[in-house]
Amino acid sequence: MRVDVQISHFATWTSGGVAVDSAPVAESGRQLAKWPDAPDLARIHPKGRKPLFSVQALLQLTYALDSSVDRGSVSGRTSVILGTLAGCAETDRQFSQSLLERGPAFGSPTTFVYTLPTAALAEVAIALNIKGEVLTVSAGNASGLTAVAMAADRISSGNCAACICGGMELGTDRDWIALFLLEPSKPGRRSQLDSWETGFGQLPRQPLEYPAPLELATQLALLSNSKTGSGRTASSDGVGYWASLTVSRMGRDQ
Amino acid sequence: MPAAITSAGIITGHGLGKRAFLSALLEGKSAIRQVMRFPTGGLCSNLAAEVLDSLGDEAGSSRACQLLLSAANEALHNRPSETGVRRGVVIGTTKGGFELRERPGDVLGEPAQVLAKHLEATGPVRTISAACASSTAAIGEGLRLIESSNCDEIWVGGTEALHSFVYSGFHALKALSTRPAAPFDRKRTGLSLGEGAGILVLEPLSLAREKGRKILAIVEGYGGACDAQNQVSPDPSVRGLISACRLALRDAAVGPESIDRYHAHGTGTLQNDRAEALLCHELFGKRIPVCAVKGCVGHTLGAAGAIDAIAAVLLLSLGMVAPIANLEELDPRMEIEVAERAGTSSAQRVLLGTAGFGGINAALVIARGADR
Repeated sequence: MRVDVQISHFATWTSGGVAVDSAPVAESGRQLAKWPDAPDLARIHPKGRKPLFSVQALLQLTYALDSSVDRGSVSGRTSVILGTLAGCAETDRQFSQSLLERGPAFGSPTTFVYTLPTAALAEVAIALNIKGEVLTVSAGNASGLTAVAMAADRISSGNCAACICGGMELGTDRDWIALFLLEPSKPGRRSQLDSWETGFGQLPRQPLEYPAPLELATQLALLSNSKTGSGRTASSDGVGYWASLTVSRMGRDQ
Repeated sequence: MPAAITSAGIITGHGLGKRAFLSALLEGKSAIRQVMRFPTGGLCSNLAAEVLDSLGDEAGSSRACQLLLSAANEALHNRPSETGVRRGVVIGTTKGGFELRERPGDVLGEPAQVLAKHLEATGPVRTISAACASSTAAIGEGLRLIESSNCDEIWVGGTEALHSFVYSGFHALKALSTRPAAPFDRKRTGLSLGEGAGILVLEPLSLAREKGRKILAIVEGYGGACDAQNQVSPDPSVRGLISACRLALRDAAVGPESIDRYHAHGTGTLQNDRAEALLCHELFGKRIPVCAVKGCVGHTLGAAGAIDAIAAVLLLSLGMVAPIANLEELDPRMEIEVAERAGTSSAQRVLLGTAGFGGINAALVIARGADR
């Protein structure tokens, strides 16, 4: 039996700043804005092996999302699925540089651990005691929406109690993170994810002004200001990847 | 919903094809030898299971992509040509088209993307990264897509090329063995890296039967779980991998008593093998036959789960059991059964476990295809 899926909370971090359950802050550059109020890495995560920017940023935004959850903590059967194109390009460069400078026998073991796309997600899992699935997905420009679709599949089929999903690109021309917390729909629900679909090579390219997960956050913020309504967010690229989601709103937050 | 495996293809250090892989598996033969493709001077090991075959020359493609296409072409061989099929592709990898990293675009997803075009896929196309559990998770994702999408078939698997970058990283972590990896051996000293690719074609079981496909095996369940303990070391209590195994069993709607063999991640490191022996004790409560292929083909990282799955499929369909390559003396602390040589087996259903950095675990339940 399939269950309905709600987007309980969402959070974005762009060069303009951090937004939780509201529209992304307009971008003002290529790097993430400073977040002076964010707790530092050591306070969030004493086991952190290395305060890499990507790890710290993802932890801080997840921490913000977690703080907004009604029951106070996402853990246990929560999963983390993030879409990314750049993956761990930042740490790949750092480890390659260390091999060039010091020789192939003297690479940093600590940095090497972070040359896996899932390393930052694993830090989030350790920090928040998340014990569900942890993985990244790459599907061209549709990576972020594909991650949301995968999370929706898992919630809908009862294979997952909650999922932090979305997209993240850091160390690229345009840094951003967008996270969504998906759960089975509850009475007094927030925005509902009505449909989701992904595919390859069928739809024409539809360039978006913003990365699609930021568009989705914008749409959710617009819907939260109205009692009812629905909207579609889609993404595709020249390679052939596409993803499409429909969200709706029935009533205000409880 | 169970998924039928109706085709498979593989390339490992033993060369291209299921026949070469199965033969090495049954003979307990190891492909781990001196690395040829890059210098290893000054590193703690010079061993790996490299693919020595010449690969296709798909213009501008990465080695991982060429490995994947080689495996996929074997799976395509003798497969009837069909039109109007909605086909998806889900590939697990940790580094994808790594050597293309200075090129803009989807480096991780390059092998899957090229394969999707090669197969004229129109369904979901995804690259999954979940450390060494990547291709197990990709097969699990394929199973989910068989349940939820309107795809006729999903090509799932994994690919990983051996790069000096990764070799230096495992040297830095002091994880490489100076001797060929010997999973579950009393004198094991660490892992040996490998490279390769494995592909499985999943179809809805009912559709596969309607089409009269030869069903090699059936993927019945998948589970994924995280230790949430440590980036590198497995949780000594092996709770995360046990949790992934239990989720896979629940997904398959069977209990541990229905499992006839455990296909281990079996890296040959002290910690991993000890943890998996503990898993067998805790999950099954008895000595259970264990299969492990990393002494045979090395640790192929993101491709490991797919290669383990193909070993399970081949052994189940032939009714055989294989020895563990390089295992000379079972660690006496391991309460498991291992075959000393190839033999017949009546196993009907196996559990396959994989574990990776970040405490990421994934498991599959795979059943024999014939007469089901």
